[in-house]
Amino acid sequence: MLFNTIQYILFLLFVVLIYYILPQKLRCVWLLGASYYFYMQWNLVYIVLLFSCTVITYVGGLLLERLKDVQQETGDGKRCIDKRKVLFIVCIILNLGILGGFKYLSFAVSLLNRMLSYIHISGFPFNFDILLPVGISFYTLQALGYLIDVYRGDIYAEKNFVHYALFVSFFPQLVAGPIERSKNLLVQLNREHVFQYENIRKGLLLVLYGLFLKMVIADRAAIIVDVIYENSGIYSGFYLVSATFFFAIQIYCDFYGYSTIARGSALLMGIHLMDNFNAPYYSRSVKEFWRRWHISLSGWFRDYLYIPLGGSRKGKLRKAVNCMIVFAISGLWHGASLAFVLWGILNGIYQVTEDVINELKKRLNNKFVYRTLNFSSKLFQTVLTFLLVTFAWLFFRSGELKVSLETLCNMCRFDNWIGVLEGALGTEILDGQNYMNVLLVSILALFIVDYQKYKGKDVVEVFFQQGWWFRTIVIMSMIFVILLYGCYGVSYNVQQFIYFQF
Amino acid sequence: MKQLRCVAGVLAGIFIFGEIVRGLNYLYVPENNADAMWYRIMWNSFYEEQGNIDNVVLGSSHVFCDINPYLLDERNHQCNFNLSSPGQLMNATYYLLKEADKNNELSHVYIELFYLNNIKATFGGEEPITEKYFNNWGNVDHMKMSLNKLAYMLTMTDVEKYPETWVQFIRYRTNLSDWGGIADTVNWKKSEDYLNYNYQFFYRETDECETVYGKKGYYYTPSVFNETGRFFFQSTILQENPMAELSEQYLRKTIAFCQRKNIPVTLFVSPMYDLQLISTENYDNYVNQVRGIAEEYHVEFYDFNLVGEEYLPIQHPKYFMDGGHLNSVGADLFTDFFNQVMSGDIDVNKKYFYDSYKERLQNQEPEVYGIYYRDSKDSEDDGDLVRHMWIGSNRETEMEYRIIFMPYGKGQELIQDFSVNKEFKIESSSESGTLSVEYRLKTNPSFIQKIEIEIEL
Repeated sequence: MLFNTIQYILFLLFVVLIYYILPQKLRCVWLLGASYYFYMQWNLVYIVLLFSCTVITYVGGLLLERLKDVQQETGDGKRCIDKRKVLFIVCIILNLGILGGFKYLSFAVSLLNRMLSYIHISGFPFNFDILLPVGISFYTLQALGYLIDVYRGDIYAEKNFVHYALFVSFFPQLVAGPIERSKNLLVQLNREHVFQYENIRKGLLLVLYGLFLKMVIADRAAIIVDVIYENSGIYSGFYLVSATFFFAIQIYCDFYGYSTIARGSALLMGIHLMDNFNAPYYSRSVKEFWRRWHISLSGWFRDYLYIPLGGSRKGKLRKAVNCMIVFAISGLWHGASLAFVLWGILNGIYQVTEDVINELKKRLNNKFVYRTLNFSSKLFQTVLTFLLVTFAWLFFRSGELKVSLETLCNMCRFDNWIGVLEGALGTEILDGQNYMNVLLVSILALFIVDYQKYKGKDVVEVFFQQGWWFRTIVIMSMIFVILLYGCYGVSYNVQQFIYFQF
Repeated sequence: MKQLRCVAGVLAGIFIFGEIVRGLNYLYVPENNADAMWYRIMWNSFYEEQGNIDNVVLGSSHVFCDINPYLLDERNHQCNFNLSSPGQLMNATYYLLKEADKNNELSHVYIELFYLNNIKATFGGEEPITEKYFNNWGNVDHMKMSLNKLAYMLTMTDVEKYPETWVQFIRYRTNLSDWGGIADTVNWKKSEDYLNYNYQFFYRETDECETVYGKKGYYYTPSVFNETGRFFFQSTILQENPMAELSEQYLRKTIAFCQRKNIPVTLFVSPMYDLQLISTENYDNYVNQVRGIAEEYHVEFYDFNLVGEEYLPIQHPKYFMDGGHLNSVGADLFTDFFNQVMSGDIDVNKKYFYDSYKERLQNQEPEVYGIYYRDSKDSEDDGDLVRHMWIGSNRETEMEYRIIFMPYGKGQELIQDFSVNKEFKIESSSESGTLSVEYRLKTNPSFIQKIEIEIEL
């Protein structure tokens, strides 16, 4: 059940309606049932994995806390600490084992076979191609985050199984995040929620904006990207460059759209999910970009991987190594392919290079007069960051290393720029130039909204402070632009969200 | 006070949304094509007649072309209405019947069952014809809002198609910047003919008389089937029990509804030009299945394609507007016979009908009705598209055929000399032309008849 389908809208409205009708005590049970039903729409069998992950981390959390209590009561510190550590590691291995088995086994075997073939040894004859369970990367990280928090003693283990199971499987963020922290979501699930008109109207606005991002921008840009990338031999040079730019927009709107619908859906039930994006394409450095892009994942890696590795506390070289490790793993988390690893490493290299340049600049600034950056310098930094990030997206889009390199070669044939400038993308690939115009205007609208976010404003709050006529025009425009230009219905295949594959 | 403002805001939003949708529907929904106009005029007429209708005839275009309700009114002294629509599916028949039943004291319901609307699938891996939800859109666009209409809209498509089903202009959103088209639509909607529900046109450019969408669901056309155009695509070969699940399910529901309401119901199939049914191999499989359902519910079923020529001499192009539908002359001839059967005794009626279509063909004079074809890839021809053709005759082995192909502007090519073989091939790369088929009975080789067919390749 994709967010951009009528089924989801009907499902959501039904769930919300019953949620508010039911007494407080039953609401979490209802949401848990709805979440499991939602997940089962993809694959009935994989519900076992979700449940296993939930049970392992729930029981693990309780036992970790019990051992901590025993340690405090008996004063038998060493033995309890050892037991806790063993238990913690076992839980982590079990969870990562499930993720690894379903996501990385096939990749690992094929990599091993390739290496063995270089030394003329026959590889494993098994085929481990398993359909990746939707959302497994997201809910595994979320559950692990909880377990680590309990282990560290940052939070108490959740005693109520229904609340915990709902924390892992809460349907708006189950399949593609945001990867919520127990301190935020679990705490909210334990609270009572009363019907608030504010939540409803803000939630509906977020759902509408998310649909606009997905159906009008991401899916329309996807048409250009898919046609060009799948025929990169024909559409070389400027076509590929344009497609890569559109992919940068597509992936942003696709994932941001999903996250926004997720936030809106949760808000309809009075639950606040974290904002996963904060105007990332206004970033003036790759480091800043990663603070604004997929914030829940970046935060997870920062708190549970980068800092435990030593972060920036153990010298510059170690900081650079830690950064590279985190980004390589982040790449691998996105997809079991060398192209994703390369994408991650590339982002790591950007950041390490930035650190070096910043260090140099700092030294130079100490010697010369420090000047505040003017508009053009800021613009240059923003554009450069966008270009660097977009270049890295090429590897992400291609999915396979060989394809990425071929695409890169095809991109370097600049023999067709006139066609692109004359609007061939709209007339040849989209259904007409007016679709391209609407796409470009929509992207402009996105950047205007994002600029407000970049300036630190709560866009939803600002929107509801405007006059009724302005709100009516904006809401009606969004509805009718979706109805007229959105990719849905008879003429289009409903596009899956890109991040569902991770 | 705040709550009141919220409610007012929501209501105002819904009102504005509705008005914008209405405006966009006006601009983008063309309603100047033949089918769209048919629905509009038929439903307008239906609501005008509401309360007076005694009998409804539900079904496909074979109803509105083949049955003249005015003539039927004269014959049975009741008010008859053809509540039929192009390609009407069985789910539409069910909901349309309920719509008719709401405000009319129905005396009789006739359900027409054109086989191509009700079978599982056609060739070429197409989706089952019963999933052609767009055949239903025209009805819901003009039905008045009611629970019945809501139920119809909710069940006619899968959920993904709801936007197109519920909001008309979305179907035309690809024409968004077609300003010429919008201007045409607006001009048409402002015209007197549109406002007065008049629609007259020439079915073919060569026709001399106008086709008219009349009231009471009657499509009056004097257009005559072109004899040289007897060249049909073979749409399917019927297996046993060929009816689609959805069609059968709704047919049963429709009959059960009538029986629950004590309204007599009769099933029937309109007469078609024989080439259509010959090209559909095993048509009797369909007849047998419908007959089985009719017997199960103890209702009458008449397939007028099984009527002996001596009772209904309609198998001539002059009675048809095309290969499937009767023209107004044929409609009058058929309506008379239809009334005779429907008002007659069931045992008397039996004498008009053969048990099977095959049996009826065997009992007719030997004849060639035309050519039917199917395109397929032949492995022996490196996978090139080849047009397989068959002679549509009513004899299996007793006749011989000589086939000559005359491409336009070129000479002629003998495809086969007199032989019982009915199947031949023409590569699709060949040019269009005229196909001459001479035929004779093996027992009387000196009496040769001939038909000429124009074929498009």
